[in-house]
Amino acid sequence: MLLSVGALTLLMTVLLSFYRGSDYTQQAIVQTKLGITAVSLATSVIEDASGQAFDQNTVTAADTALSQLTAANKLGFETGESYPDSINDFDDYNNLTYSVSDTMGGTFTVKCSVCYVSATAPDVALSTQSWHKKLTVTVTAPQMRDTVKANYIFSYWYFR
Amino acid sequence: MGNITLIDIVGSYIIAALLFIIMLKMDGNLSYANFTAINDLTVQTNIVTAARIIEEDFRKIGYCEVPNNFPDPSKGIVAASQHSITFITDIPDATHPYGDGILDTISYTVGTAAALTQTKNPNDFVLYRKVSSPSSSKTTNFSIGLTRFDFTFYDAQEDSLSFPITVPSAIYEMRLTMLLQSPFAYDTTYSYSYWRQMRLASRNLKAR
Repeated sequence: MLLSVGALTLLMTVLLSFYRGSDYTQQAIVQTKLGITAVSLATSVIEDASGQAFDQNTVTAADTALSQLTAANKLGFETGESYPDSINDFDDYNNLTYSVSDTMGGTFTVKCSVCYVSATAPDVALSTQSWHKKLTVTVTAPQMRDTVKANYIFSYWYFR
Repeated sequence: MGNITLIDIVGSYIIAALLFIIMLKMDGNLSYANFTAINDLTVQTNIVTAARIIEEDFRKIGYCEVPNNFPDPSKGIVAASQHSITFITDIPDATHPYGDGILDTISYTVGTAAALTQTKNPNDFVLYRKVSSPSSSKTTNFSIGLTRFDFTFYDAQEDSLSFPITVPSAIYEMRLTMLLQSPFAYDTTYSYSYWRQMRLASRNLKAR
């Protein structure tokens, strides 16, 4: 009897270990599945943003001086603009946050921020205007353990 | 003494039966876990590979190494429907990493689910990628468990275009939705992976 109970205990230990391992595998699969969708959402935002004008002041005209660009502390929607209908320039994505419900399950939160950067130090946000704007998109979901983060630098080169 | 021995024997039988049931259940779960893990991994690898190829191609819609050979990128899309697209681009090769300046045409089309009989999944179909150059034509078949390959096209005002699309040059942006399922199911459950992406059709058209 004691031997049987001992065997049962041993088996339970093995079972617990097995199910823990199986659970980790399933979680990893679900996380990568969510990650794939999150990457597609982040890329979508970048694609959308890269099709916009560089600045509100370059929508219909060309800028030739940095002072003509939107001030660094004014990046974002101009008065009367809203997402998604009236986005018309790259920095409209600054401080933009919205949720996307995936039809296959999961609700993702997309957060964007835009800042000026220099060509030589693209990781440092500038407090003054430059010809380069950096968009950072972060995608999260309650089920996701990690955050998907994507960066894109848009340079104003066309008219210079 | 006799009663205790009897209890020991009966108890051992009960525990043995329990062990047997647990082992059977564990074996079933192990099979399920292994099957779905491998299927999921395969599906995810396939969708990432497909997305990478498609992204690479779509990024260059309307591109030509010699701009004068294709001056209007807005005419890059030749034909478009809900499940197919044909566009003009300039494909690089070993000697011309940025393209040879000669226009090529790429078509993405899908087959029917009934035509794909090699897999058990009744919903999947083949994705065809046809590259046509002036001198050659090559079609690649992707049998990767694709069960959904849907386009939505938008004009420059971000209004969706209705099908059939008679003026492909009106397309400014498009959304591609892909759903892949595993070719085989565990019971009736297929592993799946999902990809939905917005993409600019003509990057040079509005970027400034």
